[in-house]
Amino acid sequence: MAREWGSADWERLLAQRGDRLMGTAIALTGSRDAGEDLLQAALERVLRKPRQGDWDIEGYLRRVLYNLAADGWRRRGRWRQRLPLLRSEAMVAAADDTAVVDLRDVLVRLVLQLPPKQRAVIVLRYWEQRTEAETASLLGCSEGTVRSASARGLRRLRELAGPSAGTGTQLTEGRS
Amino acid sequence: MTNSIEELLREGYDRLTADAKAPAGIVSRAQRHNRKRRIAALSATGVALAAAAAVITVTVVPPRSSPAPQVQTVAYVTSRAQHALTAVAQGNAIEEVSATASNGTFGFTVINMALSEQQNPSGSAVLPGVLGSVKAQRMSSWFYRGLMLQEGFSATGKLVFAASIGTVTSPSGKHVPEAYGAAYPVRTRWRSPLVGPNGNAPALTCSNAFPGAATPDLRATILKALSCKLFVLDGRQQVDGVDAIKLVMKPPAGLPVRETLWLDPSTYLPLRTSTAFLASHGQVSLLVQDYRWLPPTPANLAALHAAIRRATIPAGFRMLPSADLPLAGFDTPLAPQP
Repeated sequence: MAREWGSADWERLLAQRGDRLMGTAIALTGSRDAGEDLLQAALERVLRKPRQGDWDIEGYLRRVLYNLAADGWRRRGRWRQRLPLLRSEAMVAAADDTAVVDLRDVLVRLVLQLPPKQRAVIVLRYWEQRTEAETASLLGCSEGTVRSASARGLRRLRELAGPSAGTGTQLTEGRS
Repeated sequence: MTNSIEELLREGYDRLTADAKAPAGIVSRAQRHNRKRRIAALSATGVALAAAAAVITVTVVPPRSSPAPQVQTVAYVTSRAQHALTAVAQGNAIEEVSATASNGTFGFTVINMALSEQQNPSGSAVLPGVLGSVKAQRMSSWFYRGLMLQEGFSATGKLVFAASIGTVTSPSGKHVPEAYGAAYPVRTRWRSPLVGPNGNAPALTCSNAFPGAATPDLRATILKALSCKLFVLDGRQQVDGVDAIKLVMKPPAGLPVRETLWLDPSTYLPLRTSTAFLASHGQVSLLVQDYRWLPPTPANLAALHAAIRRATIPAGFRMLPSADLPLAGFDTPLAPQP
């Protein structure tokens, strides 16, 4: 009979695969701090039920990571930080102010303005290079949902990024 | 050279995650947090059982001499309020809000709307410290079809800031929204076009639909909270001489905010909201907002337009860069959660 996973097993998994998992969490949230919170939340979720040793535990942890991000896990945390009357998504985009601003970084920040599910699809499809079928399986939705979320996300990114992304869309209105 | 948005995204993510390191001790932190959660859940079960016993006790007490309340279900009240607020959204009222704060202040978050490297070399959208010393004790606001005026006052009634959103005509002839205003104690003014992505407020969801959280549009916020069925009826209460319908919000899971809404029983429009929460300074902050719904008569609209243009700004005030957008609001942060 397979042995139940203990703390040492989890520590070993994190030592071997933790950096990759952390990278995914950062990509899904857009910043190091938020990524750390997301990874911890995913671990908490997985640790709540005893697990046996003969299964793809990293795959399961990743699935929880993607689904927490797609379900807007971070939203509740935001309210704990601040309660302004006026708020812009730009504040969320400012989570990591050490990044050098160029077009790549701008795009990655703009992804934060997309709904959580579109954001997760963008990360899975265009960073992790997953197929539509794999993405659908990981997020527990249909391939059609992945296709439409991906298309809508990219369209919105082009709108947000404007001509800098080579799309010809105006980003800002000129003023005198 | 890369030229597709997909490739740019991939490279952007590669850079973002290049030095990713799993934090040490994250497994034990997750285990500790789970233990705390289990303890909290057990405590909550005990409280719920006690509360259920209390409810049963209360229900068998015979009614006193007070008149029986009018029978209204929360569904009925919600539906009427939704209709009333939807009518307001279509332009049948100017929304006036008087906000006061206990253990909190009104101030500014300044956003840099520029997105290019040339315009925004620091890469941070929020500009810390800019107008950070400007604090008001109460704020009056008016909203009507995209127009907005907010005025902040000191405890002695002195005007601290005036911030408005009106429309101006761009060189191409388009009508575009523009933020305009001044912060008097620091002799600073601004005039910023509201175009591009950063001028947009985030979408309202059932998790952020309470006044003071997501957007300046309080009407839309309340409407969203009603549609999410976040309120329960809590009887009647006098508000400025009106026997108002009182609703309290069932807080979304874990949200440390207590929200109350009072509706005018004749119009089903909000009379008052109150938002209480534990602030970072360790005390309970309270944000109370009183509403008036003014008919959009030509005289009222002319007064609103005049007020938006009015902000008399003395000579010599420094001008903020045009990409800087000061956003007025309740600026007392929530306490960090354990």
